[in-house]
Amino acid sequence: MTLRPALRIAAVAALAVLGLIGLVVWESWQRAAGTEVVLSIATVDPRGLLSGDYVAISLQEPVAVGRACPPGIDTDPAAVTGKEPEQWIALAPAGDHAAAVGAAGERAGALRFAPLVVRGRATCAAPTPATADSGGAPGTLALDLGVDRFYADQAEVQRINETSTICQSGSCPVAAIVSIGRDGKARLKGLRINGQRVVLSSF
Amino acid sequence: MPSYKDRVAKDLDGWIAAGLAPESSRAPILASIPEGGRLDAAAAMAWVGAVLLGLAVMALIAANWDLLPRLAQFALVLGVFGAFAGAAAWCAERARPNLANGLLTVAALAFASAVGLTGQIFDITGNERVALYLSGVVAAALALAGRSSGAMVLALAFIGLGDDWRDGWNGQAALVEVPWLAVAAPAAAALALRWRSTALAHAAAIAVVAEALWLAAKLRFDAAAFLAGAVALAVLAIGARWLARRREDRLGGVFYGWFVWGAFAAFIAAGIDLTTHRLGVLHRIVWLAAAGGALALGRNDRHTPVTAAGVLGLIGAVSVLMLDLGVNLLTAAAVFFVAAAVALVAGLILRRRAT
Repeated sequence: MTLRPALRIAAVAALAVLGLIGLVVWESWQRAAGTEVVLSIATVDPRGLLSGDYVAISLQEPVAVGRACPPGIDTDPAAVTGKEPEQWIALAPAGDHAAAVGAAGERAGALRFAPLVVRGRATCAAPTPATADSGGAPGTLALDLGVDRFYADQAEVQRINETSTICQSGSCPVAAIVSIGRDGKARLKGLRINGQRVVLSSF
Repeated sequence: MPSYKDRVAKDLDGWIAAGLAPESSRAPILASIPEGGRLDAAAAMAWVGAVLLGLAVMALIAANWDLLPRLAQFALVLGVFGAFAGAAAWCAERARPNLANGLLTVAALAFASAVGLTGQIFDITGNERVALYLSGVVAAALALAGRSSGAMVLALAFIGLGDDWRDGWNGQAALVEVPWLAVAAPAAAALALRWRSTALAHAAAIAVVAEALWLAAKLRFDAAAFLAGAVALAVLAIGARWLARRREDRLGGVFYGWFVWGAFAAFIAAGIDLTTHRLGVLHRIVWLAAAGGALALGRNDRHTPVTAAGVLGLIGAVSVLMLDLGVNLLTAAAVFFVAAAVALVAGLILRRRAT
């Protein structure tokens, strides 16, 4: 039996639409069901002209002078090409947010550091030690969890942009609210701006 | 502009006047030539109006996009895709294949946009490669469902992009697990032959050439890899030539031209100083000979792209050889003298065989 072309086209189109709806439902459910953590942001760059209004975010945590980079995390950011295999990164509470405390190639290995683990890549630039002439400089611990942009309307993006100048001076008042699913994938839930939650709504 | 039928009618009048064809054959000959489809002025204006209306609607939606709730945005994105696919199904049902082809092509583009916009609307981050493959698979499915060459061309483009062209051409970049264009391009070539689609034949041939070059660059990025690519494309060109000549298949001619160009591209790339190992003057001499061969073959087959490849190949080979030999004009003269002698002898042999 051969289907008429119109029916074939309708069937393919219906499957494609159902697939996209299924993706949205699945991702929304995973985002709601995951464990919520707040992660530090170092830089906030507003909007790409061709991609709609969004805020490009970079998850970074300062590493204080005198502290070492977490175990298992690459300490040569200059050698990072972005094509390294994914790791499992362990996250643990650090004040009002969470921070990476170690990483491993296997999930079980990362769980040794902390009970909450996420898939991604991490690099760490070690802090400059204090000398007689200077007090040293803090290092940075950067996370690439596939969470790099937050879509918002134009007014919201402009409001976030105003706070981004503060980020450049050091302490950033913007943090990412991320959901860690059972599959270990990070999904962005929203931003925390000056303590206020801006969470993505589905409606 | 006179149509093909108008030109034949004019030629026929001349042949009848010269006594080469009987007057009685004029009407049956002209009746055997179908009227070419022409877009009259009213239909052209209707198309322009429809396009402008579409642009106006798009601008209106874009201006108010932020005001729409997320679910409304999602429904709109899916609705646009569904509308084009539905219109294509309607046209396919009413035996309007060209319109259905065009609408399926737009539907495939609309779906690719829908994938990107859905990620934006609901802040779903994911692998861009997966999004491109998904767009390619849906475009291919739409093409197969409605026999749309345009949607299949888009499928090739999406799958090719998904194979991660952004990694650059240096072999140090990680190769994707499966370069799916290596599967999709031959399949599209087979479909082009089955559907008798010239547009798809061009796209499939370009995809095969691009894939051969890309694999050579990604796998090894050295002279041997590009030489292997050149040989593979030359073999494909021989097959396509057989199709074009023995079976008088015009699509075979399309593949023939592209594969010859591809073989030259791969061969020339092999001669660039990619590694410490250089192919040297031997590469230039083979290049010269191959270009001469392509020129002769193109003239013999009355195939303009192959002839053009030969001409440009000759110019390129001579230029590079001069560059290689520097100011040593005596050596250059010797090489060109030997090449000229070989060409003349080959020409004489061909002439004797022909007579």
